[in-house]
Amino acid sequence: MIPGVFRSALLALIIFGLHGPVFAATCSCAGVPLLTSIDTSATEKGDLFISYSIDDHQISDLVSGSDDVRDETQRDRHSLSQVLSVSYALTDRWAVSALASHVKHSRTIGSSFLGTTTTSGVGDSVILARYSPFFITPFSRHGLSLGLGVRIPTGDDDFGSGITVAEDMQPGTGAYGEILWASYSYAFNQAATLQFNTSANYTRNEENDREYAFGDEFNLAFGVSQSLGARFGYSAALRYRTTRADTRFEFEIPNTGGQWLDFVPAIQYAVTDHLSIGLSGRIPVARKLKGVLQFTTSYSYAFSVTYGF
Amino acid sequence: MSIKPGSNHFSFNLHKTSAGTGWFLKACLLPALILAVLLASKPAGAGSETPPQQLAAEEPFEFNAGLNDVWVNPDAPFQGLFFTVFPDRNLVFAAWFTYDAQTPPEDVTAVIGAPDHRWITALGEYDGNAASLEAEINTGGSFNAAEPVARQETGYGVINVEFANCEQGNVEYDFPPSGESGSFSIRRVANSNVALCEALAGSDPTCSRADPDISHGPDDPPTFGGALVQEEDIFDGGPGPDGIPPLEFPDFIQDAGLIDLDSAELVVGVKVGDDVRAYPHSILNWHEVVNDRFTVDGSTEGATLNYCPLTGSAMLWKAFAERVNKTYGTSGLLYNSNLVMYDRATESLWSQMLEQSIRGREVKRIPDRLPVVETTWGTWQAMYPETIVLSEDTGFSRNYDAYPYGTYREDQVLLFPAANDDDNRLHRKERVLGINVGTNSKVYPISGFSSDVEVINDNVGNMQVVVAGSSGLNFGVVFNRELADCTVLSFDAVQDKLPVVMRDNEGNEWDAFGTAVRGVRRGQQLQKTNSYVAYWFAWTAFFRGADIHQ
Repeated sequence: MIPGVFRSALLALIIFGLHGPVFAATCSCAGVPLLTSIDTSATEKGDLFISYSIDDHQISDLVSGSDDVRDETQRDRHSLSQVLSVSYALTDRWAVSALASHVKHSRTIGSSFLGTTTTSGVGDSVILARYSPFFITPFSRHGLSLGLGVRIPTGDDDFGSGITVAEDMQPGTGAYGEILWASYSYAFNQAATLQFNTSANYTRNEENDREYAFGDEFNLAFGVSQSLGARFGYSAALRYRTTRADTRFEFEIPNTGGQWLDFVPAIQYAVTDHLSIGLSGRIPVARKLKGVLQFTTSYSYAFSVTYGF
Repeated sequence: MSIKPGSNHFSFNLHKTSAGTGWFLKACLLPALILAVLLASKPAGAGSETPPQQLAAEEPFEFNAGLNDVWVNPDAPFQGLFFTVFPDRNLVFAAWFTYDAQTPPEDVTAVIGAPDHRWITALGEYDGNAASLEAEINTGGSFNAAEPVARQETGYGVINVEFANCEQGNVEYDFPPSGESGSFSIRRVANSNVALCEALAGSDPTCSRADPDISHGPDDPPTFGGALVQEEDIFDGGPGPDGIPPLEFPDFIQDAGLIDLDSAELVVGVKVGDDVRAYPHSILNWHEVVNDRFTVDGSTEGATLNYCPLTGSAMLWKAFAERVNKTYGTSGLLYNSNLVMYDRATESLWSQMLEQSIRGREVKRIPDRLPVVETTWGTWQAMYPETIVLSEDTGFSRNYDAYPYGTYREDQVLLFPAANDDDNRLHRKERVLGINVGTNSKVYPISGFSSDVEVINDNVGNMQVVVAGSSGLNFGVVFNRELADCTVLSFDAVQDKLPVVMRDNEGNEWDAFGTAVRGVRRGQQLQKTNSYVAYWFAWTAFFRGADIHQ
């Protein structure tokens, strides 16, 4: 059964979970959100959550610095990611989570004589250990979780019909990544139906075997979540993200990296006491990108299903 | 190919134009004939018919452009012949300035010149050292006027000319209408063109220069699964096919006053037919491929200007497809960090610096290439003030004042793998003029040229080349200095006379495109070589072990 308090937390986690930094960074704009449904909320020993999410990310905005640029090439670029996550509470404070993914990228230049390039395959995986020194209960309004994880390059990074496609079109990164993560929540009422949530995470990316490394990434989010009644909840947050430029041979790749500010709304519905569904989106608010021209997020949305045992 | 009269001048229609040569020749004749008198060692009365000197037989000798000169009969001062040889047409034209066979009565007068002035023109083909020319008489015109239109009377007779060498000849003439016939020996008024004649005559007529090796490397290179290069060596650059959008038949700025380019900005200069164009790097950095059209001999031909900002290399390729789409696009792929294009007719892939298709139906095919000159806007404009410039009004929203790759042009960074990247004999981004001859390769750093125009007569492999370049003017070009008839020219630099950059040992002046613009070889073209300007790291990636000119 999923207590209401957990539902709120769960909702928050959809929004504030590790989102984006750990995978084939599509054009350095956080293409593949691997951890949207990580359950990093309060747990009881033996709790088990399984979550499935699907994320559709459209990456067709052409930007110069902070200015939108008209794209005459009629580019259509988007990524479809499917993530399966499992979280298990070892103790009341310790939990482990594991995620696996499947990614499909597609790229079409509408003005070109050639067709669409598509890649599809198993993506990278994440293993995360979480420690919650304290969490929101009817007797405590504060919750804190700390996480340490590793991204494992289980995905294909040499996809191509002979010619290897670019790194941002690969299902996997081909490189390990180290993840640090923390989240804090404050309940405005004893029932914890209204919460303030914040989270931060940092990912350090290693080089793949072609000496390419996605830029290290930092995310910081602030928002509120609220449960309305027994089954419905919503949240809204602002998320700041910054990445360093990608590198090859340890030299920075021009026109990669930057800063983004996104608005992330979400809703959740508890179908049963064990099953909930959620829908979230990511809407660009502002961005300041490195270099003179980059393609970046137009929008994304995700649908998730979570079952708690 | 007849000479058609136009007023009192000759309309010489070999080139479908009219040219007032008659008055010009007459204007030049008097000084030449005075000179002939001064130089002649045996003055004699006019009209004498000295038996022709027995010419020493010298085998073989053939008419050549070095015979273009004033020739006189030493026994007949103040008259002589002008010969003009057209080697590409196998024709020789003669103009004989002389006098009437009898002195006119004293009451016969002339408004211009003397009433006894006569000239006879003749034209015909030559065979070896001899030519038989059909003589013509023009009459009925008026001085420097269009009317009345002079009449050309053909069939006046025959002039036979034979040259034993560059200094001696014989003329036989037979003019039935006047009953005049005879023969005499001739020699030059001055010997200025003897060396040229000997140089042209010295080339073995049976010699033919080897066809240029248009490929880089083996004539029949191995393939890998039908491709010329290993697929693992081809990288996806990220933008996707035509993600870096090519320009299609773009606009150009015609008005020089509207061109806003810094004089130091690099451009790719193109001269095809009468079309002279500059393509600024600032625009090419964002588009890399420009599908364009040029007018050649009245017909429109397609050609694609391609430039890779990662390797600093520019080329101009003729359209190859016979039908349908003859244009190229950017594939989004890279080989040795260099642009790989695709053609829209067959979707084959083409390596720019290999100058060859590397994959697809056209694999191994080499495009027909036209020369380009990469230089600064200031130098190009000095070369060709009439040039037009690619307009920034391309239809794309690009900031052409911005360079899209940061400090790439100056630093040692490679954004994509390239072979032989540890050859650090030069800075990776040093711009070099490279030439490839078979398996031999040599580079000339642009910065290594002197500030003024420098010319280097060199050998690369089995090719004798001439290199012209300047660090101050920021250009470098290289041509085969062996002509089609196996004549090997040697060159010196020409300063302050752009686009002329060099002069050969015959006195011809040549421009940066290897075209003779002055001299007896005017219009001739030095053979193009497998050469272009590129960054050092790129050249050595494709042509390992290249020599570096010091």
